[in-house]
Amino acid sequence: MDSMPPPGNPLRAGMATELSVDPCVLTILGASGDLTRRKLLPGLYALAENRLLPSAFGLLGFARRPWSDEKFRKLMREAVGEHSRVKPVDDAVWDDLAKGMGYVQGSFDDPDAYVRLRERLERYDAEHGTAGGRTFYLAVPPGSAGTIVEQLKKAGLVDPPVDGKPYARVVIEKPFGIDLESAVALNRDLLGLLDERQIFRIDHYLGKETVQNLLVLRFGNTIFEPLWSRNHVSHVEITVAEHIGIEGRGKFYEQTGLMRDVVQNHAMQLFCLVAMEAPVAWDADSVRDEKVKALRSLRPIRGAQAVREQTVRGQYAAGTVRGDAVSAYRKEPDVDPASMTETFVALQMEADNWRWAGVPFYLRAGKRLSKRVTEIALHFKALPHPLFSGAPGAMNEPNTLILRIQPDEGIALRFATKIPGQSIAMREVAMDFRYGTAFGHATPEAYERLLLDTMRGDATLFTRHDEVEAQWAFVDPIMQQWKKGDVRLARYESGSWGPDEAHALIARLGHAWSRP
Amino acid sequence: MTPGHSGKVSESLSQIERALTQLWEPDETGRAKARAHTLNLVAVSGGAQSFLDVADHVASTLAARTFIVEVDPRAEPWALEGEVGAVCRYDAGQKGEEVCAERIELHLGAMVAKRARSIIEALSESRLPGVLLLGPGAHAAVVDALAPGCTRVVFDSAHFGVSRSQRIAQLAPGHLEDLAFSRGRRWREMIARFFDDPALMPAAAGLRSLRIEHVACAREEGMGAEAELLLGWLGARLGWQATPGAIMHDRHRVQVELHQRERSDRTLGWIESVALSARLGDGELVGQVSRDPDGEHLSWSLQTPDGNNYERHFSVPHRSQTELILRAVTSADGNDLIREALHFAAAWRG
Repeated sequence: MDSMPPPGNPLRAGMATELSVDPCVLTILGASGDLTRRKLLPGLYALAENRLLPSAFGLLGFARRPWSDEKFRKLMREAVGEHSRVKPVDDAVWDDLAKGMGYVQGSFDDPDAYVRLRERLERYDAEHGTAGGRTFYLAVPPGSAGTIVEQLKKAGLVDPPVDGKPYARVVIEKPFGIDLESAVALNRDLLGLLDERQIFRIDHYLGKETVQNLLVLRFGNTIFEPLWSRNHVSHVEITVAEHIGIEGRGKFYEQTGLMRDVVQNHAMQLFCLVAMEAPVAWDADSVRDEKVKALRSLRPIRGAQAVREQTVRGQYAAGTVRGDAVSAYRKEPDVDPASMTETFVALQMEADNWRWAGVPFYLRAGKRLSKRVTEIALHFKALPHPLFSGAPGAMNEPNTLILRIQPDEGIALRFATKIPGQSIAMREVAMDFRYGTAFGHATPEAYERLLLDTMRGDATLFTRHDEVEAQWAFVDPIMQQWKKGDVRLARYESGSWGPDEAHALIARLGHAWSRP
Repeated sequence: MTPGHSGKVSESLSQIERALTQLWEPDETGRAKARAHTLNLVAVSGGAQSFLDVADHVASTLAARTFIVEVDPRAEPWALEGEVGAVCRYDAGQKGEEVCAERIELHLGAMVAKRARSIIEALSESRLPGVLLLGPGAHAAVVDALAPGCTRVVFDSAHFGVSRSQRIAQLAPGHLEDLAFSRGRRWREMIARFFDDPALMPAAAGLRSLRIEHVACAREEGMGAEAELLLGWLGARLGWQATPGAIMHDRHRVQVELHQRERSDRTLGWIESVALSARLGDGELVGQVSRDPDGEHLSWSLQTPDGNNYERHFSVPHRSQTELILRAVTSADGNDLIREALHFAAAWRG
């Protein structure tokens, strides 16, 4: 929390903390890319519109393209117009933001470019009062991060934090490595140049309001936590489903696959938030300590038999999604016609700890499934004594708590109720809470929150090096086994809920996937 | 106060309750409206249509069971008339279904006004928060009756003046939101900024002179509320003591001037500039914030005791009354600051 406002200023007491972000310059390396246009600039604009940016704020773009400051501003204005959730774009707000915007041309491996960047930053401090606060956002392809951080270090731009001195932070996008070995190597390289407190590894799922609300639901209420264990929970389902395919990212997907793209990071984070113990405090290390403990409690899925029994890898075939005929993965551009890359994963996981022993966590994630939905469902145990077993509609396991992450963010509790009438007949109903209904206004995009947190120096919603490594340590042996060809690549029809093997996986212990 | 009169009110209430039940009964096709409630919104109106429009917008946005309460001076003193309807919206999250919440218009006779709390309690969803939204000209007896029972009170000191607002604050144990205070948010941020540098921080305790200029109109009462609340916030934060027209700090008199300026091109009540000076050791810190001619930007300047000058420019995006109210209904911050500021401003006003 090295960026909090000076504690001694009596006029800051009680003031909304978001108004108290320290002056800084945000430098986006890879500023000509899609992430900058689609997410970062719209996010920054929304922060500006909500007056959440520090009043002395600069934004520098850094990329290879030969753009001027003016051209950069013009292109970013277009990007905001196209992608901002806040519409129409307010010219006064934009002009204010654009005043602090500039561009530095350079290659990521050119030391002179970083000297120019440093000079530009120093000029910002003098002209905009940004006081030496620096955040470097690496919106670059994986593999470039090491080089960039090394060059930043050589240029004297990322000195380690010293209390009372201006800060320098580096934001890194996923993927953090392609397997455990490369993740360890990347962390080792980064930690040789930076302090962990300077590194912000983004998994944008953690910036989603409903993901954060999962912690509030669990640890800001008293009624859920006593039920949140093997004593009452029969099994947990985590679903991360997309109806879209790979959207022209054939090359990327062929190298990555769904396990690396979604499961190793987003799905593992969702697991952490459901399975973790209460942190001792709401701060970065306390929260991340508990997440790491949850990850380490995962029983490894090793060896051919375990991987065959507890994992499913699938790939979409042709089918119909939302009424449109769509082609098979192997027919997508830049995809090998005999590709063995997975676009669907189902896992049966178990956490070996006091709270969750014996409770299966089923995870399914995939492309080209029936609909786009991310949700967590906690299924509660069966009734100890089936009092109404003969009654029409009677259910043995009537209770499920569903946490919907996207879309229609909300929480639903399903339970049995008596149908009005002279006899006992039952029906399942839901208490359904929806964010949109309760709070009306649009919830902020994940990147808005995460950008703000990097400037505030709050790493609670970012992944720590040991967390990343623990995620890889779990998925890596599975991928290694898959590589050996021990698990058949199951085909599934686009628009379905995945291959039959996924249904067989969950049925093995007498359960079934919910239909979200 | 005869039993007969009371019976008449409860009879009206029963009719309203029946109408509420009917509202949710399935229609001839067997289809019932989907109901969503997240709060009770009690909007006390003085009759202004613009306020009613805002209240309806808030109600539909937040899925509130809404009460529009008006005192009708022409009505029979013990009359209670209710009109029940629903505010509906299409919710994308509900697969395009209509989601509705009740809207209950209550017209109270003068004598019933004091019983407003009992009426609202009978009709509201008791487990949900109750937000009292006060419009311009809200009837004092209704406000006084309802404020103690609500979990949140949203009002605008620009409509009531700080003295009356302070009285409302005293009556309301729940969360307070004053829209006049919300409008001053950027100004507070700018003033706080003068003292952020640790070397300049002690100057806050040495503040000796303050001048706030605001747009006023001699005929409009309460139009200095934003300026008075800014003064109130500053005084409360810095531990000043206020008596009518005078402010002391550490046995020194703080020179305060609230200067009114008539400007037809500006919104009434707007703060136009703030200038302050503060002692720091043997030197003086001088700060100034002023609204630019375009009305949408602020120029901020600081002269430090060692002779350095800093200048910055900031935007002040316009927030409509509807936006401010929506934020006020859900905001979690500011309650203590508002109470302190109101208390101080009212004491200074006398």
